[in-house]
Amino acid sequence: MSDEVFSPFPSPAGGKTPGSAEVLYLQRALFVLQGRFFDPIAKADKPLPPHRFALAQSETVFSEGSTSDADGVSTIFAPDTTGVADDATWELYLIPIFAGRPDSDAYATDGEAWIDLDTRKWVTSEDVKQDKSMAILTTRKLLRIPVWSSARKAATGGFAATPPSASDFGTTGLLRTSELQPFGNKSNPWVVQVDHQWLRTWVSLRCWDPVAKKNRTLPPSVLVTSTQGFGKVVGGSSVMLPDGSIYLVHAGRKEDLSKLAYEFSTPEVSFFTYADGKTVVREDKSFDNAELATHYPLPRAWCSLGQRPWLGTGEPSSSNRKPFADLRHDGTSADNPLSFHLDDLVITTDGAQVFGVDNDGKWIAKSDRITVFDSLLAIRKQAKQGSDPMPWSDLPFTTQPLAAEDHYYVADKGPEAITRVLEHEGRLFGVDRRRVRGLPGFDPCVGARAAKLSRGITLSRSELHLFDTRWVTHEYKGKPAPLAHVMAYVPTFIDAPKADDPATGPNLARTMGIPRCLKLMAAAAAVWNQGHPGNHAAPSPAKRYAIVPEGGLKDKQAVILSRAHFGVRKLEDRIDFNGNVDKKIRILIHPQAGRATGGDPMHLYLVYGDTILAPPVPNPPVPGKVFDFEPAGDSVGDRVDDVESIPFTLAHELGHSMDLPDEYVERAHPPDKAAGSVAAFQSWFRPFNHDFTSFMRGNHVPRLRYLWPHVMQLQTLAVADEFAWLKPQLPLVVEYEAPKAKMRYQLPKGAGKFADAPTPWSMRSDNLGLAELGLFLAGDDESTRGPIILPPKKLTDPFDGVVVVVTKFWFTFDDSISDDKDRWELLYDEFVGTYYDREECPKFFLQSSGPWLTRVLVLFQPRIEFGPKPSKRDDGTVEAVASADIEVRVRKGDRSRTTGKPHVLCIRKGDMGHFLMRYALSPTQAVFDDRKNKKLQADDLAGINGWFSNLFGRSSKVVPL
Amino acid sequence: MSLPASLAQIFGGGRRSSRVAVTAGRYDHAEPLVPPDLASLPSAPDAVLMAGTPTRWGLQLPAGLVVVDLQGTHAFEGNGRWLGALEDDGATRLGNRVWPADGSERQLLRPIGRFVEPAVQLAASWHDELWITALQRTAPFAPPQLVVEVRANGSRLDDEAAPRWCFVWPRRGTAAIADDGTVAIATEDHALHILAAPTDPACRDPEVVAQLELPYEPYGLSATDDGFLVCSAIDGDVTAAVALRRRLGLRPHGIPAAWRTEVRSLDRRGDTRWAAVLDMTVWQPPIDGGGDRVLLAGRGLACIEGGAVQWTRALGSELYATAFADGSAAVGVGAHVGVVDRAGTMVQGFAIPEVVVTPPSIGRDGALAVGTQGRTYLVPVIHD
Ligand SMILES: [Zn+2]
Repeated sequence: MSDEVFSPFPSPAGGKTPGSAEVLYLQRALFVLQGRFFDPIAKADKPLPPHRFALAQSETVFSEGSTSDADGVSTIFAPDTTGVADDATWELYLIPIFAGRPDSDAYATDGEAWIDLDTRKWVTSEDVKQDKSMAILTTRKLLRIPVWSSARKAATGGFAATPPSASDFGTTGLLRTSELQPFGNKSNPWVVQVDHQWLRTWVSLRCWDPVAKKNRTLPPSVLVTSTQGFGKVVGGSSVMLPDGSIYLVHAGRKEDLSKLAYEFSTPEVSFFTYADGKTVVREDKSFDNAELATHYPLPRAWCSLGQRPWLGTGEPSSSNRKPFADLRHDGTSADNPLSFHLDDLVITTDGAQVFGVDNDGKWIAKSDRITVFDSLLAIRKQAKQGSDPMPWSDLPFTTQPLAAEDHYYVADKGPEAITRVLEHEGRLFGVDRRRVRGLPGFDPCVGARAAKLSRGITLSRSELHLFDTRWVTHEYKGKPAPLAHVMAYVPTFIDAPKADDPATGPNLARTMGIPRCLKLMAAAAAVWNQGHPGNHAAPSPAKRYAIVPEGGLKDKQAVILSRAHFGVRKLEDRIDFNGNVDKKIRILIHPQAGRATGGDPMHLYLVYGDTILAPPVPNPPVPGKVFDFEPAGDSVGDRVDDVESIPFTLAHELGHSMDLPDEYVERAHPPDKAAGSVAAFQSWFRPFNHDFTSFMRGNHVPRLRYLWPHVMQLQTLAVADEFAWLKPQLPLVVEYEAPKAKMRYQLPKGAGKFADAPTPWSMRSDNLGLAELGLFLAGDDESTRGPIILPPKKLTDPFDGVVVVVTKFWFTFDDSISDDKDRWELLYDEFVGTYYDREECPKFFLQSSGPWLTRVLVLFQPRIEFGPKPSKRDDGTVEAVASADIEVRVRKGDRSRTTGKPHVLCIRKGDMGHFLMRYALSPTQAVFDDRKNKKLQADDLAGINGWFSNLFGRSSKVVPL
Repeated sequence: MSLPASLAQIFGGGRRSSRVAVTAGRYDHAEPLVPPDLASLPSAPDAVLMAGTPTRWGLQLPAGLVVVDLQGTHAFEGNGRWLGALEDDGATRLGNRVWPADGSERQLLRPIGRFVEPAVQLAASWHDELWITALQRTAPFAPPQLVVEVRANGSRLDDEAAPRWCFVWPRRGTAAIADDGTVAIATEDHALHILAAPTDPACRDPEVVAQLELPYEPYGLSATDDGFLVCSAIDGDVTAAVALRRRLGLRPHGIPAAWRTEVRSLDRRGDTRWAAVLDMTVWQPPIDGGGDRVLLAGRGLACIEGGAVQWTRALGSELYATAFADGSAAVGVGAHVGVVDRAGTMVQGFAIPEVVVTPPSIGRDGALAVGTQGRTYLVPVIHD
């Protein structure tokens, strides 16, 4: 293969041998050809790198030409046609000459070869591939040339020039034996433009650079291939031009390429760095999401099918975006490339299936509502009704993928504005570095960013999701720290049941209740999320809670902030998740009077009524201006931080939706016109009943303890690989540095007599006299710093436990006092009311050595039933005296005491007072006879103290506050 | 000079509608009020309270009361938004708590159940050992209720001979108490009730002197010598939140709502004497200007006499006013304090360093005191 034949023989007139060398012509030259291709860098047709052409009639009858010179010119000699029929056909083949390789077999085997536009050499596919794969990163400028023969070429656009003797070469690419006449010479060769009339396109792969805060093209890295149908490659290139677009030439004209698509793939864990645009493959395949601050991970596989590109080098927008199918053959000039955005997003439940699109590409999503959360978990482009923010985005979900400029990044904004979570119809979809999986060339949207269904932890009513956003820094206590979020997610559907429709006129719960409720959902989240950076509606001042490692936040450790989201979907059913369809959480609004209840469903009423689950009535009452579930009442400033709030029933019920329990006592109902809060028999032990500012007590503001369940769930999540970063941060505490107290909330693990994972509401109980003692662990929060027992403004060291003392008193009266309101006020004002008035109630705690339960508050919470009108239990039955511990009969005549179940104490109306509580703790005749009605003193708590020291085997004492 | 009825309303708070028994002095400057212990005082109070003696004064705050006397500052707090008062005998009152001047143990006025759950105290008075109070119940999981309780001051409940009556209306609203113990309540359902003590002292229900339906939503109510004055919002587009703040007597800061105001004068039987419409947003309850004269303060100041609007000084910014005995008024508007005469002319006025956020309080000698966002200022009377 060392022939150096340049010219046909005989030498044409004026022809010269190069270097005046003496040349020996062995054969008669037939064709002098110049192999050419379009060079996108020179923007002109240029000679192919060293190659030969061969003319073949069969496998054995052929003539291989000389190797081309620097001008791409080579010669084919006249073949030996002996015994070949005159009308036998010959085909022209291109043979690239690979430097350093003995033959060109790879070209035929691979069906392609590559021109390296920098070195101007041919490269085999094997040399292009890495680990036998086209999943590569390269900075070379490689342009694919497919196996080329004249017959193939004739079918895809024909030739720039054909030999004059050839009758139908232009359409068939074949020459008959009789047509093998000399054509072309050195100075005027037969130009074989290998890509003649082939589709040439420029493709721009854009991505968002959150550091530069602008869109950019991928740095030189990927090799894009084009296909015509699944697996049939027609083009390939890594030739990136200065503007960042990649030039491709496809083996065919537009009409030959009806299924044209683009693809690329990269090695596992490849990324480029924003700072220098250098691409890297991480050999150990590790990648920490925190690196997203500085690195752009490349899709492992990407394909144009199903994507929504635009034309030109400008920024994408809804007006220039089109389905790829409409722009498939566009991008045909260097200054008007076909642009794709690699940050377009696809909502997908399994990471592969494009949600909302059927197999035929038809749009089948039934709801157009989505919520887009950025990396601060703020709602992007929050929808509004009037001036009220809605808990979703004003970005109708009508197509996939979702455009990056509308759904992923915000122009001129940094990483905090990048989308992290999407919500659609009751499910959350996480966006991090995952991409849509699938078969490139077959499945739609492969390689787009996958907004993949986030599992989180499914709790009874809510879901808890940990969203890592450590690529965003958050200023915490004056220092920047990586940020992560824990989201309490409550999916809801708001409805007004048909069964409530009144006999005549509209159901106001539907016409007015639903819109009012809707506009309060974001407002409710705002009060729960007040210190969260994603909450633009936070009050000022606001509570700024954070979940941090027990030992404090160390360098590079993430501060975890809590955010609640109360989503409202359009459809009653949530999206199917592993065959799971449910209706969580229905919020039913009723026109009849009733008492709001959390749960699933949640029941809300336009008008307050005492009845839980109130049944429909034919003529519902006319509602007041402010519906029962709306914020109403007096604003209160919280004690440790002056955070202002007014009571908000819907927000409280949503607290239940976040699996928080009530913290108020279930009250006995005073008779007509009388007032006073006191626990009824069916009440539960409520250590925080005095702190009516607490959300789950009095509907005002959150408390640090409400995040403790989050902390416990996070400890569980930390075992998952996905959250490996969290493991070194365990154990966690909840922290709040309020102006008047720096609090760290934590419940001890393994504290005696409590389960391993106690909550602020876990209780263990014992009996003492006629009282039941309910013991709770407590942590350092706004309640235990004072409001749990002390009147306004007073603060204290936190209590780390509470013992709630409960006795059930049943009161009856004779006609010595006849009016029910007077009777109630006697028992309330002289005895029981004192225990529910925070200023007046007994204030003592048990002090002991610890390490836990060192300051245990003693809280008296007597329960009463008013005999003339006992409470109706939630199950509809009426309370009976049999469940009392003590029956108190107020009457004329002799005083008396009988023991039994219950103890019966007959007293006169003037006897009413605190001796009843003393009797409960120590039910003796002496205490009864004594009838000491002074307020309780430390001595009266001796029994409780004894119980405590016995239980924990440590000495303790009663300390007045 | 006999004291006008409204002077008996010694309570602070945004619902104050007071007129005082003194006339304006001459003023030329304001000085910050500093307690003897130099303690820093809460800012932006609801009202400044002036006691009978110049050495004792106080600040009514949303969460309680701060009292300043020769010893220094004393804080009193309530469970809800309670009214405070400085008694002439030196006692301090807040909600149902009474701290006697002699330092003896605090008393609780009954029924204590009314003050255990969160509530806003709308009005209160003591007359002849009778305690009258009106409360807006604000407890969660309970119906809204406007409650009037009348009890013998300090009696134990088993003393059945003591007078007591109670009235409950299941709405939100406002209340005013006349000096003869007649109570008016006006609620969001446009209802106005006038209540009086029952003729039978053993009866637990009041005599409902009048129950009328008003054409517009009432929010401001005050008692005069012989009747009541009501302000109602005419425009229907006042949002629930604004309506609520108005009824609770909260200041309008940050609320851009505006409406036309109907002012109505009723006699003690509930018969309308006159009604007039002002093209001005009124925030304060009607201010008794003496005789049949009413001052209205809000986004400006207006005067109605005998049902005819005498003059209007609409400003667009918030103005607070208190009437002098002669029907002129002390006003605070923006960072100014001044005196407006009966004809509506600002006859005295000077700048202070901050924006006024309370109605001026007027001491026995005519000195004025106002609260601002940052401090409390005294405007002394200049003696020649
Ligand atoms: Zn609840």
